[in-house]
Parts: sequence; C-alpha cells; structure tokens
Amino acid sequence: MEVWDLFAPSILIPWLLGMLFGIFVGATPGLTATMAVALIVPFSYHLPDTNASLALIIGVSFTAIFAGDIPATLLRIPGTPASAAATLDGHAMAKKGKASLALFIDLFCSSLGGMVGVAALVFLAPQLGRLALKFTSYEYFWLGILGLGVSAIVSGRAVALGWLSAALGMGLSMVGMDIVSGAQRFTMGSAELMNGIEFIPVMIGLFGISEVLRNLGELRSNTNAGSNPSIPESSAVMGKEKVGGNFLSRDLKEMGLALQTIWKHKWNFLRSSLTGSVIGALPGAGADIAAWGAYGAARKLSKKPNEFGSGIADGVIAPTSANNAAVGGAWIPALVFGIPGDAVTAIVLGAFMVYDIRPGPMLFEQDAARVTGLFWIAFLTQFFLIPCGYLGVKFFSWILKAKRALVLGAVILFSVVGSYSLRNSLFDVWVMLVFGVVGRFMEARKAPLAPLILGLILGPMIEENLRTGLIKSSGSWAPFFQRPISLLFVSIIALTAAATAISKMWGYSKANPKSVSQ
Amino acid sequence: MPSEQESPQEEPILPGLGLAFGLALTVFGVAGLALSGKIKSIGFQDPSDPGPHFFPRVLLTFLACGGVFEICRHVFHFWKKPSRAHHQKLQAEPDSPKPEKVPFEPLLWIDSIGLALGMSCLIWIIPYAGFPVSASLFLLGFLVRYGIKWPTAVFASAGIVGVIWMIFVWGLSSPLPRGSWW
Repeated sequence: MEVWDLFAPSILIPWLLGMLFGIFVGATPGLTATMAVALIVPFSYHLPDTNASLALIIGVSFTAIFAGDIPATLLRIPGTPASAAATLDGHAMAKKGKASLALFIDLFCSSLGGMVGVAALVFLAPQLGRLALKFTSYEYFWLGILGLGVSAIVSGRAVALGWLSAALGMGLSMVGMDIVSGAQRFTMGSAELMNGIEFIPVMIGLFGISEVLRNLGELRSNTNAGSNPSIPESSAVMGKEKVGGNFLSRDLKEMGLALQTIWKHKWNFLRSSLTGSVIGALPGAGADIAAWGAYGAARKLSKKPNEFGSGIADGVIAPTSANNAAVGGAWIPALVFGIPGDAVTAIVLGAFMVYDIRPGPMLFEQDAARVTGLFWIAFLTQFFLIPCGYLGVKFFSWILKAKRALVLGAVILFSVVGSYSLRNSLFDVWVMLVFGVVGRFMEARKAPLAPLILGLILGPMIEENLRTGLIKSSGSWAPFFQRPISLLFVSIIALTAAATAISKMWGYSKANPKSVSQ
Repeated sequence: MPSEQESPQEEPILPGLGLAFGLALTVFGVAGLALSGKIKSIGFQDPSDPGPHFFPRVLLTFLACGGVFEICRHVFHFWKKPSRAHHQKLQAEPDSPKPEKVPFEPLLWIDSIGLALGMSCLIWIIPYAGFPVSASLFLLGFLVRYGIKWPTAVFASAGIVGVIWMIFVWGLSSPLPRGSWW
C-alpha cells in the first residue's frame, strides 16, 4: 500500500469525521477518550475499506486526548482524565487573558508530542519484535502476567482491587470453547455464549454506559437546581482576550507565538514527549499518568518550580505533549507483544482481531505492509490534528452549549445500536447493559476497569501459553522459572510488587509516625 | 493521580459498597467453581495438560478469596469507624465549619437503577415495537426526566433516532429491528 492511497475519499472522509467525533466526545466533560473509541469501533466494522476503519479508530484515539485539554484550559474541567494536569497552568494562562495562546501551545504540543510517540513506536517496535521472536510459551505466559500486574499496580490506588479486576476479566475470557480440548466452559447451554463473551459490548458497557450512569447524579442535581446542566458559565474565561483585526489573522499570529514559545522551551517539550512515550508503553499506565509524570518532572527540573501553577508555558507544554505521546507509546507493547498499554489501546487491539490483525512479533514479518500502513495513519493523524483541533477550539462554546442530557441520551442509543449491529443480536445489548452496571459498581468501589479489559484480552493468551508450556515440559513447572528471559520477567514482577508494597508502607509510616514508633 | 477510569470530579466511596463488592466477587467465584465441575473435556487427553478446568478453577478460587478479603476489610473498617450518628455529631462540633449531611446510600443509586431498568424495558420491547418507536419513547422519557422541556424533547428524540437510523440503515447498510407489531 502506498501512502497516497490513504488520501482516497473513502478513507479520508471517515478519518476526518472520526477526528471531529473525537473532538466532540473528548471536549465534553465527563465523557472519556476510552468511551469515544468504544463507541466508534462498531461503526468501523461497517466501512468497506480496512484502512478506513483503522484510520477512523486511530484518529479518534489521538484527537479525544487533545480535545480533553480544551475545557481543561477554558473551564478548569478536564474533558478526559488525561487532561487533568493540563488544568493547572492552562487555566491560569486563560485567566490572564491568554486562552488562545494556551490552546494553540496545547494543540501544537499535542500534535508534535504525538509525532514523538509515533516515532518511538516506529523505531522501537520492530527492534523489540526481533527480540520477541526468541520468546517461547514460557516467556509469553510471564509477559501476560507482567502486563496484568503492572496494569493492576499503576491504574489505581488499590493494587489488590486491580488484581481482582484483572482476574475477573480473565475469568470472563474463560467462557466459551476451550482452545486446547474444545470443551464448553460456563456456557450454561446458551448458543450465544459458545464463542465466548463478545469483547465489544463488554467495553461499550464498561466505558460508555457506566459513564452515563455516573453522570446521572450530577445531571439530576443540576436539573433540580434549575440550572443548565451543561457548563458552569461563571468559570468560563472565553472572550476575555482583547479582540482586534479579523479572527484568522489574529489566530495566525497567536499560532506563530505558540510555535515560538514551544521552540523556546524545546527541551521541556522533548523530555515531556519522551517521558510520555515511555510511561505510555507501561501496561495500564495510560495518558493521564504520563501527563502527571511529565508535569512533575518539568517542575522538578525547572529553575523556577514555584511558578508552576501560575500560568507558565512550561506547565502547559509538559502535560499536553506527554498525554498525546503516551498514545503512541501505548502501541509499542500492544503491537509487539499483544499487551495493550492502556484501556484505549486494549479496545483498539480487540478491534484489530476482527480485522485479522494478530499483534505479536510475527506481525512485523508476515504483515509488514499492514504495519507500515498503521504507522502512516498514526503519523498523518498528527498533521490532521492541527486543522481538526483548530475547529474544536473555535466551536468549543457550541459543544458545551449542548445540554448534557441530550449528549448522554444520544450516547445511550449509540451504545445500544453499536452493540446490536455487531451480530444483529439483542443478546449483545443485554451483555452491554450488564457490564455497564458492573462498570458503574466497580467505579463506585474505586476498582480500576483497565485491568478487567486487559484480563479479558490477555486471559486466553496466558492460559494457552501456560498449558502449551506444561505440555512441552511434560507437566514440569521448572522451565517457567529457569529460562533466562522468564526469570527476568519473574524478577520484574517480584520487584514491582515489592516496590509497591514498600512505597505503601513508607507512605503509611510518614502519615502515621506514632503508630510506627509504638 | 486520577486513572483513566476515574472521573475528573472525585466521588466518595460509599460505605456499604465494599461489602456488596466483596459479596458479589465471592458469589461469582463460588458459583463459578461449582459450575466448573460440569466442564467436560472432550479433546485429546495428555497427562501433562491439566485440562480445561484447571485455569478457571485457579482464577475463581482467587476471586472467591479476594471477595472474602474484601468482606473482612469492610467489616474491620465498619468496627473501626465511628457510627453514622457519631459522624454527624463530630461534623456538628464548633470547630467544623459546616455540618455535613451523610447521604442515605440507596438514594444515590436511584437514578442508576432507574436508567438500568429503563434500558432493560427498551431492550425487551425492541423486538416487538421496533427500534425507531421504542428508542424514541425511551429517549423522550429520559430527556423529560432530566430537565429538557417537552417540545424540545420530542424534536430531539425524533431527531437523534432519525440520525441513528440514517447512519446505520442507510449509510452503513446495517439493519435495525423494525418490530413484529407492524
């Protein structure tokens, strides 16, 4: 496939429409990037061209993360959790009357940061793929456990709940036909369950319906108070800037200033983008942790750390470049090992299976053209982000004026139709509803959802490699611990668990000095 | 640090949720273990392969134990924490700026339960009334319930359902149920 093929209208139109959809969902406070991708995946199945479907999904995943920064800057409400760190200096700049400058810095940093993430993916993934060719079922078993373990540790505050969430996901992946023996497991005679629980309705329920359920309380309190359940207008800072000349020349001037500012702080930008790529590559870490990590590093290494939070360019550049770079970083373990870096990538990975794209080291050997296409799509998305993001910034006030009830109502119906249209089955819609309730329940208990999705995806891989390994070793567990790479993975798991336990104990002893000394 | 799943605006952990979550996990684990006894292996039998029961049983035992751990943790916290009345009394002390009312837990879930039931009705009625009619009625009820005025709600529900129909049925050639009643 030539790169020019991607500019065919059949690909370009859904791609750009998907990016605008990502802007809409990402900029709507309360709706996450994960939800945007979960809702768009069923659409992608109906497109005639696989590249159009992939462009649609990838376009949404990058734009929604950027769009979350728009309300974070203007209203101090992060559109998605990945934008929480962007509220600090972005909103402070907006309050000083520099909202446009903050948003243009944000837009360029998101685009350029995304390119750094994609570049890391392009250079690292094939190298890691070559290394991964040496892996056997023993290594893959531990790699799966490592992915789940890191995801459980970093995606929530309660590690035990993260492990339980991952185990629940793996348990659900056991439903259906056993890969090795062909036996039916937990199907309870249901024909619909014979092929296992469909992944798409589960994730639409977990990330779409549970978000709607979570937003209902706020919606009701706003309705009862008689206020417009859309935006807290008092905190809006739009229109605070001095107006003069026509808007296009003014915006071009602001864009030039934004690029100059980024160039002035290029090392911070580069460091934050690389930090974002690395953190994003950790399973379960995601763009939100990347943004906080980059912001913390920028502050620590700054000559004026006390100025962070007061509306300085460094405080905008760090989180906004890191959160989009993390999206590219999350693709590295996903494509090389089949282990998604975050919930968004987990959903995309699930969608890939439908397109017969099997992530793993062999992908780079057997389907090199497809991988090249994916890289181009991810790279070009960063260019398209600038015009689409500009439109998002300009039409943001319109997005926020849409009543929340209307947006949530539409999300419910799109979730129902999206689940139904996969197999034209209402059973899948029931599955979606059940997992919506489960997701709401788990979120209320502060149990992370990302490990559940990862468990659902990695469960079959972990079980298959465990059993294949046992068959190869005639039932002996020794090779699982004796092979050098296996031993390395086991050590990483043990060290990560120990480090988490020690840091928790350290935090506890600092918080309760008396209890420790007694 | 908020995770991808957490809302930007933090909500408190409700007191009974730990117990309910623990109970749900325990029931899931125990029921799964009971069902795993019914798994019949019909494939080739290799002595080194632990069979199709092995992995689910390990996982379900882990889940059941995790559930019991959650229950124990909840019970421990319940005994350690001051009672509801005591909590309110503490809040009302002169040093506290404002006495905070502890919300009655089930009330916070009424909207969620209501929507889940509403969606159940929607899914149940779709095969009979078809998607356009049942979805429009559902959306109309939802919008009116959450503060949208009647005329706007009627137009919005018809408009949204119309757009969905156009995208899926006409644009993507993916059929949606028309219903057996008409």
